[in-house]
Amino acid sequence: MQRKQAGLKGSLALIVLSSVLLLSACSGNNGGAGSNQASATPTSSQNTGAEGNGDSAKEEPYKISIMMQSFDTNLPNNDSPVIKQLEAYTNTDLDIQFVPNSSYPDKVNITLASGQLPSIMVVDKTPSFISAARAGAFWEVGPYLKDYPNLSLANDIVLSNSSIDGKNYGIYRERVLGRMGVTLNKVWMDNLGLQPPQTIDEFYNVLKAFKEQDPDQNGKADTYGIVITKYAGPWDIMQVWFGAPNGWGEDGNGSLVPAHMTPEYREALKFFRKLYEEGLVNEDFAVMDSAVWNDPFVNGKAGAFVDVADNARRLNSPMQEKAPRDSSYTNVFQAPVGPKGHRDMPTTGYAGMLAISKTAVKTENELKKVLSFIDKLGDVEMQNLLGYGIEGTHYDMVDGYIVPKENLDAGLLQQYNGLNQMLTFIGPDAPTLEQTEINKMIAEVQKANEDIVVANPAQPLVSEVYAQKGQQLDNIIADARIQYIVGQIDDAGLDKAIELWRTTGGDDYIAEINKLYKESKQ
Amino acid sequence: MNTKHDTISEKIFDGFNYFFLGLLALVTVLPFIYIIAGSFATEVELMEREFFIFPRDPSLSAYHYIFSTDTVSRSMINSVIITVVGTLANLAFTFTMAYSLSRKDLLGRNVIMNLVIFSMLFSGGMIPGYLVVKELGLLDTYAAVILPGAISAFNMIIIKNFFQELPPGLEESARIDGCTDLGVLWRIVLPLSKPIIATFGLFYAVGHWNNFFSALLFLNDHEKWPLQVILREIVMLSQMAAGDMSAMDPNFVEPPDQSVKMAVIVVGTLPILMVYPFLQKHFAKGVLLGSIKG
Repeated sequence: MQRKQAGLKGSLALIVLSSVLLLSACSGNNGGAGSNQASATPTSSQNTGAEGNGDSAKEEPYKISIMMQSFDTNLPNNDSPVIKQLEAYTNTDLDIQFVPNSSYPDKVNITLASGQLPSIMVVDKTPSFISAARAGAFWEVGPYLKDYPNLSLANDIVLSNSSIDGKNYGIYRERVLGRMGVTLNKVWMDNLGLQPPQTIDEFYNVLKAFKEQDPDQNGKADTYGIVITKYAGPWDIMQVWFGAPNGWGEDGNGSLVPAHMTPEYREALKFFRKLYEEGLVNEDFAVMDSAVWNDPFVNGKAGAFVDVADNARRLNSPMQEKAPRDSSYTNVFQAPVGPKGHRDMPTTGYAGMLAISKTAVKTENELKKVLSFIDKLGDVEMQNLLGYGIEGTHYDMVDGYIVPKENLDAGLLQQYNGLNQMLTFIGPDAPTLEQTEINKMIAEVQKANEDIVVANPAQPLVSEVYAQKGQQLDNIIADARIQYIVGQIDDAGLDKAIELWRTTGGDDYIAEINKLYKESKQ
Repeated sequence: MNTKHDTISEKIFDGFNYFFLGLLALVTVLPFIYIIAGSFATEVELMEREFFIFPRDPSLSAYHYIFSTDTVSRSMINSVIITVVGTLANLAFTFTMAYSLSRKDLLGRNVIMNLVIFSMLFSGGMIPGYLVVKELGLLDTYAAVILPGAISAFNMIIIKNFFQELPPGLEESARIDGCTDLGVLWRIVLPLSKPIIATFGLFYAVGHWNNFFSALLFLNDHEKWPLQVILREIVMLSQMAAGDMSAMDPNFVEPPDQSVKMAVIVVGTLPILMVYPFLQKHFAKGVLLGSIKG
C-alpha cells in the first residue's frame, strides 16, 4: 500500500509538472504576442493622440477589421506608410487580416462557423456564405448604395449577378465583363501572311496553318495550333462562340436549359474533336498541368491561346525576356463570329464581394461608417494609392498615366502589395498604366467585347441541388466532353452521359433553376 | 551468420539488390537535385526545360529575390521557434504522460487509456478544433499551433509500451538507493530512452516544420506565419495563376518565377534535412518497438 501510494503521488506529480509546463508555454507565447502588440500600439496611439489634440471636432478614427485574400507573400505590415495614408484619408483605424488565397475558402468557413467575424470580409457566393447571409449574419447593403457618390455607380447587371435571393449582401469587386480574347503569335502570323480570324472557319485555318505551314520557319514540323490544359476554360469559351449558351440559355418557351443539352453544344464539340484529330491542339490537354500552360506558347510550340485577353501581355513578357524586340510577340483579337452571330463568354463581372458582418458592425450608424469607408475606396486617390502606392515613392505621373518607378526595392513594393484586394473599382475611372502596344489591343478587345458577351441568366439564382451535387454533376459533363473530343465516346456515349447527368440530379437541378428563374422574373 | 557470398546465385542476387536499391535512391534523390539546380537556373532555361543537372549560366537571382525582403527570413525564424518550442513541449507532455500511464499503480489508468484511444478513433474536425482554440483565447498566438497537438496519442502509446518493457528491477534498485519518483524518471528512465527521445523528437520536429495548416487557421497576423505557409502560397500561386485568371485583378502581376519557387523549396527543406544526420544513429534503434536496446 505504501509503495502504491508513493507511485500514485509520483504520477500525480508528473501530471502537475506537465500542466505547469503547459501553462508556462502558454504564457511564454502570450508574452511574445503581447510584446508584438505593444510595439504596434504606440504608433497608432500616437496618431490618434495627435489628431485628438489638434482637432477635437474631428471624429475619432473608426475601427474596421478587414479579412481578404492575399496573392503574394510579401505583405505590408501595420506601419506601412500606404496603410497610414489610407487610414488618414478614410479616418479609420484598420486591422487588415490577409489570408493566403489557396486556403481562403477554409478560412471563410471557420470564420463563419466561429461567429467572430471581421467588420468587412471578402466573400464569394459559396453555400456557406449564402446560408450565413440568409440567417442574417450580414447587412443587406443594396438599399443604401444610392446614398453614396461612388457606390451609386454600381452596375445593375453585376449587382444582380452578385445578389442572393434578389438581395445584395455585399459590394462586389468589379472586374472587366468582356475580358476574353484570342491571343495569337504575331510573328507567326506575319511569317505566314495571315489575317486576324473573323469567323470560326478562319480561326480554324489559322490553327491549321500554324500546324502545317512551318510558321517559325525552322524547317521542322514542330508546331501546333492551340494549347489547352486540364483547366477547361478554353472549351467553355469556344463553345459559346458556336452558339451554345453561357451556362444556361432560354429554349424558346421561356424555360432555361443547360448548355450541354443544346444542339449548338454538340456542334462545338464536333469542331473540338476535329481539332484534336488533326493535331491542332496538344494531345495531352486533358492531363496537362495548368501551371505550365504558358510554356508551349512562350517556347514557340503553340501559336494560339484562348483565355482572358490580358494574358496576351503575360505571354509577351517572357518572350521579350528571351529575345527582346521592339514590337509585341503577341496579338489579341475578339472571338471569331460563329453560326449564331458574334458571341463571347463574359466573366461574372465581379470577383468576390465585401460583406459587412452584423456581429462586428452592430448598428445602422456604424454600417454607414463602414459603407462610407468602402465608398471612399472608389475615389481616384485611393484607387491609385492601393493599386500603385504613393506618388513619388512608388510611381510617377507622366501625361496622366501611371509609370511605376523602375527597379523598386522589394521592401518598398511590400508597402502596398496586396492592398488592391479591397478595391471595389466602383467609382470614377482612375489613371492607368501607360498604354503599350499590346495593352492598347487588350483594352480595345475588352471594350468591344461588351457588345457581344452572352449573359448567364442563371447566374443570380442560388440552387440547392447545385450546392449539394454540383461538383458531381459538373464532372460528368466535363469528363464526357473530354472523352468525346479525344474520340473515346461517340454521340451515343455523349447521350448516355447526359442521361446519367439527368438521373444523378440534373433533372431536379433543371426544375429548380426554372422555378427560381420564373420567380425572379415576376 | 555467413556474410561471405560465394555462389553465383548469391552474387547475382546481391548485384540485383545493389542495382535495385541504387535505382530507388536515384529516383528519390533526382527530383530534389533537379529542384536545387533549378533554383540556380534562369527563368528562360527552366521554361525551355533544356538543362539536366547543371544550369547553363547559374545565377543567385532567385535567392536574391527571396531574401530581398524580410518575409522569408522572418518566417524562417517563426518556423524555428515553433519547431523548437513545439518539439520540447511535445516531448515533455508525451513522455510524462506515457510514463505515468506505464505505471500500473496509476489510479484510473484504464479510463485515461480508453480516453486516449477514443481520441485516436474520433476527432472533432476542423471547426470544433477552431472553436476550442478560440475559446481558450489562443487565436493568433504560437501556442495555438503548438498546444492542440502537443501529444500524439499514437506516439504516446508507443513510448508507454517502451517504458513498460523496462525491467522493474532497475526501478527497485534505484529506490533502494533513495531515488524519488521524479528521480527515477530523470536519472534512470530517461537516460535509457535516449534513442526513443531522439526518434520521436525528430518525428515531432519534422511535423512542426512541415505543418502549415494550423498556422493558416489560427494565425491571423501574417507576420507570424511560418515558412511553410509562405512556401505553399508561392507554389499554389503559380499553379492557380494559369487557371482561373478571370477572377483576378486585371493588373495582376505574374506569379513568382519557377526558380523562385524552387529556391523557396530548398530554403524550406534544407534546415530540417540537416537535423537528420545528427539523429540518425539513434534512429534505427528507436523506431524498433518493444525490445530493450543495448
